[in-house]
Amino acid sequence: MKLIRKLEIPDTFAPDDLRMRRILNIVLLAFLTISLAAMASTFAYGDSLFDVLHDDEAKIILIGSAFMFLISLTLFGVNRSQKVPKNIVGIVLVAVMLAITALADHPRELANGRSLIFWFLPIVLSLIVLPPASVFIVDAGVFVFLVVYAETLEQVNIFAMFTVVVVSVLGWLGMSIANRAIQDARNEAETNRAILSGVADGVIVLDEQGRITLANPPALNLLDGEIHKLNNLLDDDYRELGGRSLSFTWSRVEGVGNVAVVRDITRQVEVERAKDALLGVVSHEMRTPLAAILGFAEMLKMSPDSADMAERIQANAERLMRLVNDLLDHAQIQAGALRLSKESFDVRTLASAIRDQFALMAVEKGISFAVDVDADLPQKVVGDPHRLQQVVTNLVGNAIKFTEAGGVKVSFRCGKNSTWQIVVSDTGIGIPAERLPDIFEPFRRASDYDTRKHQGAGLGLSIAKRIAALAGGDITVVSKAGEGSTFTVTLPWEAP
Amino acid sequence: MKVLIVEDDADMRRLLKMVVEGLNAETQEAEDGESAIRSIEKGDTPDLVLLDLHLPNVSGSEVLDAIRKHCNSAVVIVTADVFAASEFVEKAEGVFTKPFKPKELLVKISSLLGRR
Repeated sequence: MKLIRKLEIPDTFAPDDLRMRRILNIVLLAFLTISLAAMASTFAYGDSLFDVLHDDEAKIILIGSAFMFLISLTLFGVNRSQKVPKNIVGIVLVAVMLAITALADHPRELANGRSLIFWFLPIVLSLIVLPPASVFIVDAGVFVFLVVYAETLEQVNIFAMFTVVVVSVLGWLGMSIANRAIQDARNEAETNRAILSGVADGVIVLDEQGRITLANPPALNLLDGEIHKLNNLLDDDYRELGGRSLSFTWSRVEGVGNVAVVRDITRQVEVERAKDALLGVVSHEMRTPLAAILGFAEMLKMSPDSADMAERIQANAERLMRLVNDLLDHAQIQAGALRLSKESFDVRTLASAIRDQFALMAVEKGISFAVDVDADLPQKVVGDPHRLQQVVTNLVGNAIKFTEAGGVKVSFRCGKNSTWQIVVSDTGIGIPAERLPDIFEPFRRASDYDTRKHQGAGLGLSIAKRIAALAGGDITVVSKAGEGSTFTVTLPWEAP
Repeated sequence: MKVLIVEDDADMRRLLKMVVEGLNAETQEAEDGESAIRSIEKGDTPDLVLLDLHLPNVSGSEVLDAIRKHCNSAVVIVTADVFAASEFVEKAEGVFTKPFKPKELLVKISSLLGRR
């Protein structure tokens, strides 16, 4: 392992430099191996070094390969040093290759015979280890040898020269295209990396196994270097970390995995909290005078003369109170701050609370009012009993308000697919078809505010629908103008 | 029967007094937490304390601590802070949020005083 590390080119080089030096390293390793093999092969000429040195051909091969070995070893060392430009190493290597080729055989054979093919060695080598265009300089060197080695001018091998030029041009084109492609790919990668580092938002990429494969500098900064300690990142859309509020937006990217954009929303969260606090104070401040109005009104009712007036005070104050509560709920819903509790409660208790709450009102209006609970419905369900009562109170209150004859019926029953339902049906004025689509929109009644007959800001149904949605359920409506309405609250059934 | 009303709002004090007087109980009033604590520490032992939470200078919560330390009066919290109210459900004998129904408060007070 240590040896392999020695052979490696340090990563401190520029990308282009690094690639070229790695190629040079491989070529030089091949040269070292070949020269060692050539030295070893000389022992075929005799049993000892003495025999080898007395054979002229063997001597030439031995000295030549030893020379090549030393040159390769030197260049190998030089190649790992940042002090020597990479092209110097390449030029020396190609020059040595050209020299070895020129001395490899009898000039006659190199000019016109069996060894013509060897001239391609320095040419191919220059294409690999030098900038591609330098192949033509090597070609010129080869031509000089071909002319010099030819015995007469007529014997200069024009065909060989032509072949050398064709191979060089093809090689140059091929290597230029390849280098250009590498350059383009690198530029694109650099651009992408620069964009990823430059954007203000953090970007995190998780692979299919949930491992972090990429995190840009803003992400590392936002996550405070604790990025690898974050478990179950995928489940997060919001997290508090180091006093900052972070939002995570996930998207699936085919072939990449899950990509999250991490954003610092500390400021927005602060604004939201300040708004919530303000609303809390406003509601609190309104409650105290309201308490006085309502309280005195009730005390006043005990005195017969002022009973009627007192009742009006009370009714108006209560209306104001409902409005404040609705506004607060609406603001909380808009801010995504409305949270439902999860507790086990008795459906029949809720049903009887609804019955107690509205029985008198129905009697006063002269309409019938019935609340029944399906015998199949389990005693206990899980949910937020107070918010659910708010939903039912709103629906029943509306039903009674809009019904002048007939009656209102509330049924608690089992639904399909592990759900349960609360159905509020009335025989009231109903809802015109054109009104049905936006009945759950907040402030939907603002358009006919001046002329409407019934009170209310039009927030109740939108709040009810939202509460049902937060509980994992829904509210649907079936209605016909003049024939009444049926609202159905469907909620998931959870075993206590 | 003695009832101490700790409330900074004059209207509310008057209303609470009217409710309590319906039971023929003697009332005593405190406009802030400090005077309430002073009266308790002086040795007053009301049977019941109607206590607001948001009070000038000394909070209702501190007044409650002082009451628990010096006497065994029943305490009914009457507050407009619906969020804080839930914290006192365990700590006090009764919790009412404003606006409350005087009749309901009357029923609660009479049952608490009746036990004594």
